[in-house]
Parts: sequence; structure tokens; C-alpha cells
Amino acid sequence: MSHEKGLDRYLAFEELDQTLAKVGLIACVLLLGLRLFADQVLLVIIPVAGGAGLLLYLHLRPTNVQGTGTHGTHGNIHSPGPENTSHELPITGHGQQRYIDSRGIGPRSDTVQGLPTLPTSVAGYLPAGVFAAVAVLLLQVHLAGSRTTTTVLLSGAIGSMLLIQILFVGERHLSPAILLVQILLVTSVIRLTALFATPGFIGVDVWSHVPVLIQGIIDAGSLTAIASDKYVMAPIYHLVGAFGGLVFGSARTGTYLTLGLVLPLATLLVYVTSRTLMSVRWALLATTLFAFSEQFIRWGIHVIPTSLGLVFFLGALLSLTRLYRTDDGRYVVLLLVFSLGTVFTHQVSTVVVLVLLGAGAFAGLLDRFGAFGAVDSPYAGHVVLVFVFTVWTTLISWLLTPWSEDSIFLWRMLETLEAAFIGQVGFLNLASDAGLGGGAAGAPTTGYAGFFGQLVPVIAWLGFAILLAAMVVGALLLFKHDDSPSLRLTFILAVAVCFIVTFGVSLIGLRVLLPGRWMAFLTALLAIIGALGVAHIGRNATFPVAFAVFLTLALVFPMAMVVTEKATMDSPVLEQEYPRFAYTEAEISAVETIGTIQPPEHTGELGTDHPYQTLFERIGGYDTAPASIGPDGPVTEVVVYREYQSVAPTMLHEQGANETAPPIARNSQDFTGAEICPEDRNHPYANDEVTLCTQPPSDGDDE
Amino acid sequence: MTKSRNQPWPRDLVLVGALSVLTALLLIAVPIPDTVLWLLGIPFLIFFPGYALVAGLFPEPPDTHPVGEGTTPQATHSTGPGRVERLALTPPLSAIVLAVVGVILSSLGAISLGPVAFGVSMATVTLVVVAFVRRSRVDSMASETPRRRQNDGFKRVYTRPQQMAIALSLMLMLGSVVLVAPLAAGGDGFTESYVLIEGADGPVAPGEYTGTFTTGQSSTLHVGLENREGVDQKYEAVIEAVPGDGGEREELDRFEVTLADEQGTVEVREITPTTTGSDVHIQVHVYRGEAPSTTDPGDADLVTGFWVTVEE
Repeated sequence: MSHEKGLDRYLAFEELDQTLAKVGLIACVLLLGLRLFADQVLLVIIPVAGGAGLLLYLHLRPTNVQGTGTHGTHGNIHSPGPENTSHELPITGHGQQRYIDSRGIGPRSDTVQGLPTLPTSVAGYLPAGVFAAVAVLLLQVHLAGSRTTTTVLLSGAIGSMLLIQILFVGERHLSPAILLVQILLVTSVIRLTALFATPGFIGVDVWSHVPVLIQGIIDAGSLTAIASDKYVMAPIYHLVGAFGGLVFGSARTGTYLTLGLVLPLATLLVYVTSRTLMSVRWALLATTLFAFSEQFIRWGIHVIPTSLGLVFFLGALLSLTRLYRTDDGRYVVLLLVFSLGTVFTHQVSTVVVLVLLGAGAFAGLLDRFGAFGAVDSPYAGHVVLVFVFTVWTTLISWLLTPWSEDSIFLWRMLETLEAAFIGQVGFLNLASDAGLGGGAAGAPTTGYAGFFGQLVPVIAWLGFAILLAAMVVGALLLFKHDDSPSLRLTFILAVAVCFIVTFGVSLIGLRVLLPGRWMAFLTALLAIIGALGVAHIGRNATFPVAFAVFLTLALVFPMAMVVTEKATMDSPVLEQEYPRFAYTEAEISAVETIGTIQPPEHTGELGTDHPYQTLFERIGGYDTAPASIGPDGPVTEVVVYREYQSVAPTMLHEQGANETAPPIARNSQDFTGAEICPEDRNHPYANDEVTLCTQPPSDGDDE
Repeated sequence: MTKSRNQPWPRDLVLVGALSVLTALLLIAVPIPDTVLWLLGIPFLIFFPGYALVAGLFPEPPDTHPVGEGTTPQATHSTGPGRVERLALTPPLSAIVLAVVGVILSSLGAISLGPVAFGVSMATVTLVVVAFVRRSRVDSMASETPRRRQNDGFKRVYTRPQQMAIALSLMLMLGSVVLVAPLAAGGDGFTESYVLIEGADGPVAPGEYTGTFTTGQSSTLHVGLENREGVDQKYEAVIEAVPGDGGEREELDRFEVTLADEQGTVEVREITPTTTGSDVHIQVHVYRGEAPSTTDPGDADLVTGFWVTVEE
């Protein structure tokens, strides 16, 4: 055997997974170096988390990722032996209908030998603990009147209890039915509690979608109410909400009890997709990781077309996975239905689904042309057809979608893309973290001082980092397998493209694709592939490593996720870092009453803090901007002050002495109430929380 | 049509169809208590249509090795998706069905409760019929496949005390839902107050009033109050004129009003200030309950006001 050169041996193509891991490590180091040139926490989080996953994978030396049992390897305490699992799927040996295929991509066994399990006398009471904790949470919210930090922490604890049941319970006592019931009830109850406990709505865009568009459809009796809006060609969300509004008597209740329930129930789609790839324990893990992810919580409490687009994306992912794994042609129908459903629901979601379909179609084309040797799936060509048909439908739909009086959506998007490439793009022209939120950006915050202040961005991204590290392990495992190449390639391509769009294009300042909206879709892929990675760790890592990973997942991940900004839009835990995107009854009522006494048609521009300005814009019909405060008082003529500006990091503008200079975004707590709404202004309106300030007319004006 | 003797499952389709029609009739014909409305309305919209569609698309029985329900090592040939997958597909497909019905109704300008209830129930019934026909054509061998006992059953996994604990805690949780659900979003009560000035064309906001007041001549204010305290509330309002140079406060008017919760009023008040100046601050102090005989803006619950020139 000839000696290979060092680099060739180091980067052997035959061991593609190992090679990619090593190359990835180098890339992570280089990416970490960019931190010297730009102040962006993700330039630390991504390479560190990714690098940790890569190192972990390289540390593991599986000798058999498909066999019927684990083999003891160096440093591995697993002992070889027969797999005794009630969830082991038999080898039929016929393959004429690989509906439940024993040649699973992921680990086929739930057995994680060597790791400690809870005594059955304890584990058996955990479901009761979960239900009791949810009851306590409900009562706590009711007594407090809203979600509080206690509520959020309790949610995290519930998530931990679920993950403990999944990761630290013996196989014999792993009950998928009970766990799924717990997951569904917990996700539904926690989300609906947040929704109904909050006056009005949570978020920004929902104030247009529900009280304006959905209510408009109800009032008009048809979609003509939204004829001039882009959603006339993507009306599914609004139609479902309108139906709910008619049945339940209010657009808000109707939206929450239809769309607000469809989303948490979509965790089952993740479970079924995962279950097609891996055994019960890991499928449950993937489901729980996704259910408690920041992004899934976010779109469950900010119920807008993105939420329903995410559901249809999960449906398309399930259909594609089942199609490639079971060769059941009916999934072509489902894939088409969900893809077209997305097209007629939400434009950004459509692009994401097209990425998924494109990945599947590309893999299908390779399959059809024999790149994988024997044909992997007889329906690969159908996937290509679905992709092409969906693209065609998208183009037609966007050609018919109005944008403004004299424009259509497709041309407008192309113009925006062109302008973005010219104006925004630049290496390290970084989007802020707030830009990745996909919604309106927040204010520069005073935040928290000292060490805790430095920890805040880490806390914000800790859950994502854990998920990313697990996904890296799982993704490399997909390269290791040689089963179901079409499906593996689909997952790899889909997660890679979504990751690049979400984070990579942000690196060059391209924000027009709303990368923050892609996070939820990416998170689903991270959770599924990440569960594969965790299973691989459980079966192949040394005891301390596996135990540490499992413990981190169970105890840290849920809490890290539920306290993030997007998961607590209604009641931020880190309240000095993030403003709330929900309003009190007094704040909502102020918008309505001010609209009658100071109507928008008599008001040039109304200034208040961001995000409160969005409420005046959406339901008040005002032209708004963050109020601009100068050295002598407000520069904006009509200003709305709310007490929340004095206690939270909302955004105002500071106008310097030079009136021609652009205003600077400032934290509203930098100003006193008297500076924002001084005594020498008219105060024609006041409630216990909100005051309207207007400039008196000049002296000498006649009536 | 061959009906298998082991084929009890069409009853689910009958149940879905019947409940859908019943719900539609109830929605159209009679007022329903909220609890019943929620219990019927939620499945009517997000379960029944999708369930029927899934049943029609996959007419064979749920897979004997269903995804997520545990398996035994003994195998038969698999058929369709399992119960969990069917349940997973149901809500999003219901949304699709609702949208199709919605587009049809929109073309008729008929999106209102009656046509919606009728349309959704008819769509569901149609899908039920399709599902029933397709099921009747399912290979009898598949339909006769014996169901395997689930080997991860509730009773096998949990001891009796644990089963009791789970059942009790589940009841506790559902009881909390029932207790909390009907209640409105919490929060503190509040009162709204505003003031408008009668102009040539009616009441206007102070910022739009460009006139002046004249001593000895009355000017008309419109003082609005809205009670959102959650209880009946008495208010007393005091209107004062305060010179901009910090001179003596002049009480111009005082009135009381009692409002029920969510009741509002607009009190039209005539004031005749004697305080003159180019910057006279007209203030409206609102007190919950009774106002003190001598007011101080710092003591008032709400203060509104405007600046105006008062001429002699």
C-alpha cells in the first residue's frame, strides 16, 4: 500500500464526512477571525457552535451507523449485543413497499446504552408533573393578568421535563403517545394563553392582518375588501381567519381558535417527518426541540401568514420525505397541495418552499440520471414536475398580485432585489441582530450593565447554538450514510441554502429577502437533523460527553429558547434589552380615541416611540415616525407619550442642534416624560398611561 | 361493494359528517353558549374537513405499523399512514378546504355566517362521501389485517398510581383551561379624558383652534370622559385657567358625572375666564370620586389642557 501524501490522507474523499468536518473546522476558525472586523455576535456564535459540532463529530468514531447494534469502540462504553427495542422495525426483505423502511437513515434503535435513566418510580410521574405545571401556569397568568417572567421560566421547566422524559427514560417506559399528547397540549395551551391573555394582538403585522384585512373580508363578504392588497392573491390565511371570525363572533377569537391552533398542532408534522427517518425517541426529540424553539413560539404568538406558511412548509417537508421513503405516489398530491397552499398564503414562505422543492428536484434529477447508481425513488421525476409547476404558479400569481396602484408584486420584488444588490451589499455590511428578526428593528438599548450585559447576546443565541451544533453532527452523519441518497441530499441542500440565506446573505448586508422570516423554516430542519446528531452522539460518544450533551439539551435548551426576544414578544424577560410588542388596553384605546379627536387627515405626522408608532399606523391610519426630540423639546408637532417609554427600551429620535443633520435613534429612557411631552404643549387627550401632545397654534392667528 | 366484517371504521366518517352538519345547523339556527361554540366550532373548522380529505386520500385503514405508535417485531405488509400522520395532516388540509370554500363564496359575495356554515359542512360531507366510496373499494385483505396490540400502551408503561396521577393532573389542567378561558385579557382599568374647543365648524382639537378667548364672553369646551375601570365610577372634573407667568389659578367650572363601565360621555361646558394673557393654560383636572375644594394638578388623576390667548 503506497503512502499517501499528508494532505491527501488528511482529506480523504472516501471519508467525505470526516473531510468535510476538517474543512469545516478551518472555515470556522476563519469565520471567527471576521469578528475582528465587525461587531456581530453571530460571527462568534456560528463558528463556535459549528466548530463544537464538528469537533464532537470527529471525536466520535462510529464503526457502524446502520447496523443492528453498536459495536464497542475505543473509549465507548457501549457493549455489543442484541438490540432489544420494541421500536425496532423489522426487515421485510421484500422492499416492494418500503413504507416503513427498516433501512432507516437515522438510528433505528432507541437504545442508548450506558447512559443513566431515571427510575421508573420517578419517570412515571413526569407526565403528571407536566400537566400540573401547565395548570399552575394557566392560573398564574390569570392571576397576574399577563405572561410574566415566572410564566416564561415555568414554560422552560415544562420543556425540560419533556426532554428528560425523552432522553433519560428507559426504552420500555418510553411512551410516544403520552409524550405526543403532552407536547401538543403544552404547545397549544402555552400559545393560546399568551394570545388570549394579551389585549389586542402580539406583534406588528398582525394589526393589519386581523382587524383590518380579515375584518374587512367579514364586513364586505368577499375578498374585494383586500383587492388592492397583495394578499388578494394569497388569501388562505385571511379566509380561514374570516371563517373563524364569523363562527366565533370576532376576528380575533376566530383567528386564534383556527390559525392559532393549526400552528401548535403542526408539531405532529415534524414528528411524522422525523419518524420516517429515525426511531421513536429521536423523532420525539426532534419534535420537542422544534416545539420549544424560539421561532416556533414566535409564530405561534404572532399569528400572521408566515405562521400558516410555516405549517404548509412542514406539510411539504413531510410529503417529500414520505414520498422518497415510501414510494407512495399519493404523497405527490400532498406535496403539490402544500406547495400551492404556500403560494397562496405567503410570498416569503413560497420562496422557502421553492428552495425545499428545488433541493428535492435537484436530488430527483440526479437520481433520474443515475448519479446514485440504482434509481432511488420512482417518483423523483414527479418531484421535479411539482417544483416546475409550483414555480410557474408562483410567477403567475406574483404577476397578478397588486403592489401599489401602478405596480405589481413581481416587478416590485425584482426592482427591490436590484436596488438591494446595489445599495445594501457589501462585505461585512452586516445586518444587526434585530434585522434577523425580520420585523421592525429595535432601539439602541441601554441594556444591562456589566457582566450580565455582555451575557445578554449569548443568552439570546444560546438555544440556537445548541441546535446548530447538533445539526452539524447530524448533517455530517447524512454524508456518512449511503441509504436514501435523494432524501439525504434534499435535506442537506435545503438546510444549506436556508442557512446561507438566513445568515450568509446577512453577512453582506442583503436584507431584502427578510432573512429573519427564514429562521423558523431553518429551525425545523435544524431540529430534525439535529436529532439525528444527538442520537449519533448518544450511541457513539463516551459517557461523559454523551451525558453532558443530553443534560445540556434537557436543562439548558428549553430555558434558553423560551426567554429569547422573539419568544417573549408580549412580555420580554430581558425587559431592559427588548421592548414588548404588545399593548395594554389603555394604549390600544388611546389609538382609537385619538383617531377621533385628532384624525389622521388633520395630522401631518404623528410621532411616538417605536414600536407604538406601528399601532397608530396600522389601525389609526396615521403617517408615523419615532418622535424626534430636540434640545428645546419635541421637534415633531404631534407626539404621543406613553409611560412605557420611561421604563423600557423603546426607540425615539434625538434631533441635535443642527436641524439639517439626520436624527439619531435613542433609547426612550434617555428622555424624561417632560422632555417628550412638555407642559408648554397642548395635552388634549390623556388616560392613565398615554398623553397626546400637540403644538399650540402660533400667536396672532385668527380663527 | 365488499364490506369487510372487520371494518368498523366507516363510523368515523358518519360521525364526522353528522357532526359537521349538526354544527352548521346550530350555527345558523340558534344562539349557542360560548363553551359549546368553542367545542363544536373548532373541530368544525380545523378537523372535520381535513379528516374527511385525508380519509379520502388514504382510504385504507391506518397502517398496522403506524408511525409513532410503536410496533412489534412481527410484520405484515404495510398499507397507509398511521393515525398520528393522519392527525398531523388534518388541520393544514382543513385550512386548504376552508380556503377553497372561501374562494367560491367570495366569488358570490357570500362570505357570511350562513353560507360559510353551509359551505363548510357541504364540503365536509362531500369529502366524507368520497372517502366512503374509496374505502368501500379498498382491498378486503388489507381491511382485514388484524390490528396489532400496541406494546407501548398507557397501562404497560405506567403503574396504576402513575396512571391515576396523570389522569388527575390532566383533569386539573383541563379544569384550569375551562376556568381561565372565558375570562378576558387582564390588565388595569383606566379612564380616558379629552378636551375639544368649539370652533366655527364644531368642536376641534386644541391644536387646530386658532382663535382666542375673550374675558366676559363664554367659550365652549367639549370634555370627553370614558370609563374603562371595570366598575361604575363617579368622576369630578374641575376646569381652571392658569396664567403662563405663574399667577393665581382661576377655577372656571366644576362638574360631576357617574359612568358605568365602558360608558362614555361628552360634557359641553361653558367657561368664562377672567384671567388674561397670551399664554393662558386651560386645564381640565379629572378626579375619580370627589375633587378637593382646592385643586393641585399633581393630585388629579388625569389632566388635559391647552394653551390659549385670553384677551380683554
